[in-house]
Amino acid sequence: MSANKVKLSTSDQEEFDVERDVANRSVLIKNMLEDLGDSDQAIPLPNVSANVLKKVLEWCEHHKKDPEPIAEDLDDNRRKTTEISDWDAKFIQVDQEMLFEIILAANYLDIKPLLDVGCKTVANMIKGKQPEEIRKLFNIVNDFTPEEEAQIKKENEWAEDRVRLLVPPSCTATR
Amino acid sequence: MEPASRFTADKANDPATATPSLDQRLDGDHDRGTASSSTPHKRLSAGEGGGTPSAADNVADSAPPAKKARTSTGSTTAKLKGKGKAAVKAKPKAKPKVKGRTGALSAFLSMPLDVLVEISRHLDLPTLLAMSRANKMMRNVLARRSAAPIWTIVRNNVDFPDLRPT
Repeated sequence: MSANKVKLSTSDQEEFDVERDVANRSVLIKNMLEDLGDSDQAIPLPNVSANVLKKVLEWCEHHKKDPEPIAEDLDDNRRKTTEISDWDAKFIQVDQEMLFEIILAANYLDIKPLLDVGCKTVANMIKGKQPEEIRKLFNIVNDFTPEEEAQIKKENEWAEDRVRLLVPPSCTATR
Repeated sequence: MEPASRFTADKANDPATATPSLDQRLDGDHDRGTASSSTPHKRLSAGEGGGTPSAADNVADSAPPAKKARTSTGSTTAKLKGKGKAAVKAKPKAKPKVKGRTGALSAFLSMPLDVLVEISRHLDLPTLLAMSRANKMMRNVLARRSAAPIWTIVRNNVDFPDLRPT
């Protein structure tokens, strides 16, 4: 029985009993389990708090039947940017803080598809924005001098014209 | 300095200090985040050229010129300046006067660099170009030769439909 369950211990010392299939969505945990073999000890996840892990496990639970990604796909630069599924879109509708935490946790736990969902969500918030709008979004200061900015603008000019032709249709739709 | 202050604050709140690992992780976490940046998702092999990236690189090579008159609002700028990649961690202070959805994503600047790269991968070219123009930190990260793979990926995000009769 215990072979099918895995114990995870969060940063705030909460313990989760999860199915092995679910836990295996995290490459980090999967590798740990493979290295350790069967053990009753809880796996410490010092970078993840209970409420975030709960959310992440919710995702893992829903996606536990997903086929394993083929190793080639992971290295493929031209990996197609697929749309976020309806379930994922709903799942990721959380406040900024949580989104941030989920992305960090997915990065730490090495759950590539979940990281993709999070990053795509953030990317969608940035898409189509001008530099000034991006600064506002990230709350950063324009630290270029006017001369530098003019210089960059000049250097980028050729690209700005051409690059507009390369916007994927999906992006123009979201603007 | 921020993790340090958090460290002491946590200590104060938690007199038992039964969990020193928790505090330490906050410190260590950041370091590991940047140090191991791009370890889990290492597909950004350097050295791929190509039109847009190399062009952007040429820009980058001349990008950090000597600092002349700084225009305005010093403190955050000064902190960001010169730290290079480490600057990603620095969280800019909130500017109260601007309105709208200001700083909605400000937390993302405190993320490890590889997450910022992961996000950039899903952008389109005009936005990536705009992002590289946002400030010096972004420019440092995106408009350099070693960032060429990001541009390649983003360029490939353009899903041109197959040439097939319908």
